[in-house]
Amino acid sequence: MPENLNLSVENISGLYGTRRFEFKPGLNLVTAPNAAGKSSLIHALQALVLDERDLTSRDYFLHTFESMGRVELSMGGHQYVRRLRARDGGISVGGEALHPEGQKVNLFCIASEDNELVDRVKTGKALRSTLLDFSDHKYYELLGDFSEQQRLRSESQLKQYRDKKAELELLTGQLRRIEAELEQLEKERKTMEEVPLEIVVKTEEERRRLAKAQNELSDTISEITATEGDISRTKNRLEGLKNQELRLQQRVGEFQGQHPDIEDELASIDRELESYKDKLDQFRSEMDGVQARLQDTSHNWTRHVKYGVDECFACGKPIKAEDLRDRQKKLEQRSAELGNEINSLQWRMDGRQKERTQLQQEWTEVRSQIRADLNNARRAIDVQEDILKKLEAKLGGLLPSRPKLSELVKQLEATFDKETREILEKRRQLDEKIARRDQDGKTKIASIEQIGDVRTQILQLQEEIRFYQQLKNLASEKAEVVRRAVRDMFNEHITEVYRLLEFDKDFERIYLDDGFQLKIIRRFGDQRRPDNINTLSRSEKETVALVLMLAGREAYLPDFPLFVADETTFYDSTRFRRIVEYVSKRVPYTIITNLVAKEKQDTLSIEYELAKL
Amino acid sequence: MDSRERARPLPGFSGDLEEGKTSESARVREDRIRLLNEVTSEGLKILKQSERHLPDTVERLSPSTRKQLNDLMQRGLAVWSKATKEV
Repeated sequence: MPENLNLSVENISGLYGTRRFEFKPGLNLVTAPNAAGKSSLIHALQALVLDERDLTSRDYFLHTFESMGRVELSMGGHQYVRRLRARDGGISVGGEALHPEGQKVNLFCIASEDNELVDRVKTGKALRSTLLDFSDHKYYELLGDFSEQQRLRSESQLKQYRDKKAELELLTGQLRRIEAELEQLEKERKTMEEVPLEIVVKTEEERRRLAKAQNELSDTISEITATEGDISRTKNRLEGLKNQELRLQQRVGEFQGQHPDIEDELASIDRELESYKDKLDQFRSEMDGVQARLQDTSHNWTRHVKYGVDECFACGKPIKAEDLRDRQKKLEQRSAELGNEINSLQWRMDGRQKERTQLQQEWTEVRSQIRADLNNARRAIDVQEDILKKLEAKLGGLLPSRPKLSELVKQLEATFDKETREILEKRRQLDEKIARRDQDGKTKIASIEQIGDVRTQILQLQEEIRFYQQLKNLASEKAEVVRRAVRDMFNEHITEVYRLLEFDKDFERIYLDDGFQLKIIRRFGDQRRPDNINTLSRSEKETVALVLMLAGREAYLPDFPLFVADETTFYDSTRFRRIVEYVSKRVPYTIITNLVAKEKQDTLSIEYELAKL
Repeated sequence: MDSRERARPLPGFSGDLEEGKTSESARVREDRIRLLNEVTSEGLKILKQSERHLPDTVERLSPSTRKQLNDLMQRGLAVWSKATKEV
């Protein structure tokens, strides 16, 4: 006999503080008016079963004014505890879940208003992923996709190797052509006329002598040409220098033309200056005499004025005062005249002296500059004339050797064995061609060796692709098998459930088609009519959803001991009651929440009889 | 991975292809079917153990799961290739 379950809920959703509930085997009817904690009790049971990753909504699971909550269930001698703590807008979870596959339990064993399966059936959404996700189908699909991804990677590598193979084939073709050509050349080489060794040696000796003579002739001709060029350039330079000399001499002539009697002019200025100098001496001498007499006269005037002496202090002759005055005036006048004459003469002398100096300087400069330029030009002319002489001597030495060398070349060419030479030349060219082709072949072989294992790689990659392809096929096949198995299993359980519920009076059949779309065949008397899920009434959809939940429970969780349903989620209480009857006979603990009017009951309580529903 | 390592049979697989002389290609075909089944079942185990919440696409598998699957396939491939060489 199953024991009673003890559930303790603390600060979960709308349940504040610690609340304890006892569930008996069979039906447990949780009755309460609005906002008394019916839905919170379902939230508490969800907190007990869901995986930590699905417990994210703080508002859904924790009391508004509390940051910590707890749910504890005693079942089968085991305590399942879930601790919830608000953190960063979400929840952190501690403790052990009631079942390792909480999502499955939530989907197939807790029929609340937010149940995804109920919602999908009600809204006519596809059920494929909802029902298949709990099977191995998706694992096989992912495995197939992974294999496909690997295959595509190998295909990409294979393409690269095929490109390399194409390159390899191209190189191999080129190598074959080279080999064929080489073979042909070798044959040609073998069929060539043989030349005796001594003739080869002799011809080679002649060839060397001829080549040497030809080289010498060629060198001599080049040297003659170069020397002639040097001579020509030297002559040009010499001509230029001589022209320069001529121009300098012309400049001297031009200067002399501007100043034809320059030396006479200088001598004339010198003579003029000499005469000026004599005249100046004469004036200065007269000036000295006038100054001496003026001084005597002044002395006699002083004696006359101061002491009343009227005789000359020098000769003692009597002098009249008025004569003294007159004489003094005349002497002063003459002194002034002489001063002017001296100054005038001195000015003229200075002017002429300046002219002479300037003329002399110009003449000296012109002469020295032209002389220097002339000297330079003449030295350069000497150097170039010297070079020219040497070059002409060299040319004179070279010119006779040219006809001699030409003659030697002619002689050697005349004696040379042209036929043998042609044979040897042809052989040499053939040898060179063979060597070049051989080198080409080696280069190609080296390239081929670099990508040599490409065939092995291609074979290996083809094997890889085959392996991944077959692996994908197998995984897809298994996924398909699982998909069909899941669909068949659901259909089997659906049929079983709706028959047991005696829904087969209304529905001939409810089933999932290949695409997991719900199909219905409605029964009306003797008539059968297929119907789409969207054409069902709300109550019928809810019934179908519950049938699917129960089928899923039977399929995936046949041993899970709880089935929870919120009666307010369902519209048709008659059908709901039949389902509850069915469930409570098969599931150890069935918990149904039931709304009652506040006037009848103001708190939450648990009844254990179906009659209360 | 060198060629010897690649050729090593998948640990835990019954991929020893040395025995049996009759109907070589039929035997290899059987071995290969067995190998593919074993790789598939091993891959399923890896996915179930590594991914509690299975992602929608392969790209969203964790690096660790991808590595485990990749290793598994490499080992399977080594056994597969060895059988080809023997044929």
